[in-house]
Amino acid sequence: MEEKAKRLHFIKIPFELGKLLKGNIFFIIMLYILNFGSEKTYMKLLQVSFLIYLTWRVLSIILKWYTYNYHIKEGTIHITSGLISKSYRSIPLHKVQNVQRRTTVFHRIFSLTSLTFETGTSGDEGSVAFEVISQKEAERLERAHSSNHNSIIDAEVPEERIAEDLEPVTKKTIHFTPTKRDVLKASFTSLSFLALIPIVATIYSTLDDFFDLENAGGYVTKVLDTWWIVTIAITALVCVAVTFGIVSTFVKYGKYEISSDQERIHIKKGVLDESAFSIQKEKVQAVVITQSIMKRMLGLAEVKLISAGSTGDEELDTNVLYPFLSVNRAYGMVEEILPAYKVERVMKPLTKQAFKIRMLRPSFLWLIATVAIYLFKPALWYISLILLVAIYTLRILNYKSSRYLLNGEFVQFKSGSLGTSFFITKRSKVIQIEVKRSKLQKVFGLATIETINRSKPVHHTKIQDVPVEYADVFYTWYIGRTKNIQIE
Amino acid sequence: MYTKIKPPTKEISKQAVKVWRMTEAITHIIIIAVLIILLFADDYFAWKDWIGWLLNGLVVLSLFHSVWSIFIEPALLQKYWRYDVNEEFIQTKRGAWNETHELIPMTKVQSVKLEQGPLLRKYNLYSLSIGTMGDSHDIPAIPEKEAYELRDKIAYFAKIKEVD
Repeated sequence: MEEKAKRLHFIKIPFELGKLLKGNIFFIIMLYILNFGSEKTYMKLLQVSFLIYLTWRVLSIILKWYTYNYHIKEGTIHITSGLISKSYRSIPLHKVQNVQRRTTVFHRIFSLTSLTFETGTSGDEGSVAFEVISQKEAERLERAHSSNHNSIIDAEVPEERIAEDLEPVTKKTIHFTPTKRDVLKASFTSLSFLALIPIVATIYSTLDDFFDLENAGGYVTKVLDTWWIVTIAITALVCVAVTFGIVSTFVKYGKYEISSDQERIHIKKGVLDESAFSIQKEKVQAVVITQSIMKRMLGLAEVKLISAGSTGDEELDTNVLYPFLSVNRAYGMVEEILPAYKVERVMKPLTKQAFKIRMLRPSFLWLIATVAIYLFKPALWYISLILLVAIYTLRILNYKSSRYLLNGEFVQFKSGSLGTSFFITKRSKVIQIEVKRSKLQKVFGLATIETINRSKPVHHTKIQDVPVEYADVFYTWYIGRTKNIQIE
Repeated sequence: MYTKIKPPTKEISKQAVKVWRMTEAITHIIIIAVLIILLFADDYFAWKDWIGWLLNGLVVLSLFHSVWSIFIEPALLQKYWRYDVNEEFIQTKRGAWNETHELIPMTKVQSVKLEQGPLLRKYNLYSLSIGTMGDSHDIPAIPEKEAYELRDKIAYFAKIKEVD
């Protein structure tokens, strides 16, 4: 597919200019508004030099946009950029691990979007971002990516599978969209109404700067005396908090959509700022299902897909399937969107030996804390006791929730004390394993087994105190991977 | 462990013990020297009390640590280090008290590199570092001839690329 080199959308220029203005607004006001017409020499000097700096930045923004060119040729994106020192990058599309799209309100106004291809390469070079492009262009790029993948499959897959592939790839199944009830549940589980507290605190401290709230105490006491005003005020505050919680949850999780087609999984979310994540099924390195203590009480769970490429902004959680699925739905969802995966809910618990070792293992945290208390504040001796009880409670909880299983091609670990985390991956996706045995574990005939998967940074998962015989099985199991890996 | 799979058997050079002893001795001499200089400074400038305590504590700690890491640790490290390389995997096993067994598929190896510092050079040894997607693994102190062979062997086996 031969095509002309393209630039990003020209709105990139005002977009960048806006960013520049925002970043330097303080200096601009300082220099050109507050000190306008100042007689001082150093101020004039500053004004002139800052103006030169701004002009240079504006020019460089325009030139950067002008010199940044990209085109797709034979399944590879070629990017040239730079005016004086030219840089030339080429990114083979089959190395792309996941695709992310982010459409902020700003993007929406002009029906634009930003698209990022994540490769597994370490460092800044790992992601290829097209910050401002039209939505049509974004679709074209994504299509180029998936069609490129198709052609590879066609070339490599034996005949019997081609028949299956003849079905249109675009056939999309929607697995999940949240109902109103889901949003309500989510807003209470995430305790989003508590988010109002810092906001109120900020407003209070800002107001405090202007009015002397501290000394308005006399007035406040008077108001507090009248019980009905207090009741109304508290009710109103609760209402505001709950509404705020629901609205903010809706904005974040309201328009969720988990869908998949033959080869990829798509996660789309966000009401105002939209973000979309898509990954090829065979590029999913592992799946993690986590439950915080709150979610465990309500029977909810969060499913996360581990990708070898970066998954963008940590806060956005782009690779998370809806974080408030019911537990059964969450486990079912894994098999649903990844038909190649088999999740076995019944796993092996830890043995009695493991319980003994966990009770005997010295807690260094407790030892250090106790010594410190003994040395500096013996009067606080009860803290040491509380700490000991807490540590042992957590240990028992962890012992109870720890599970492991080798299930054909798959390995499953589950651990955690208050919040739990379940991990499943394929043997071919594990890039290294480790078996560890401490002296104490040797005495009890136990071992720690650990898998390492590709991710950014690499994903370590381990389970402590499995029987050593099982560690041996695990080791042997991993050796067997050579039988079913694909070789280029 | 190792009921079905052969455990790694290759040892690292006995000379490694000497190299490690020397390295550790030099490091500890430097650390203790710095601490002593600081102690003099503490005396001279009359710093706060607790700084003196801390420095004295550190000196005692590093003396104990130096006994461990110069006289005891190197011999144990050498005695329990095992590795093996075959067409499909790199196996390593190490540690006397805490045992660690690693298994790295050859297809995930991305680089092999030989390194030699001045002390290793004295004994004609090399340390081999194997880079994978996740991190790098060192096999310390292998005799020259063996090191070169091993490097070429890994490089050859690792050329077979797996689809990831």
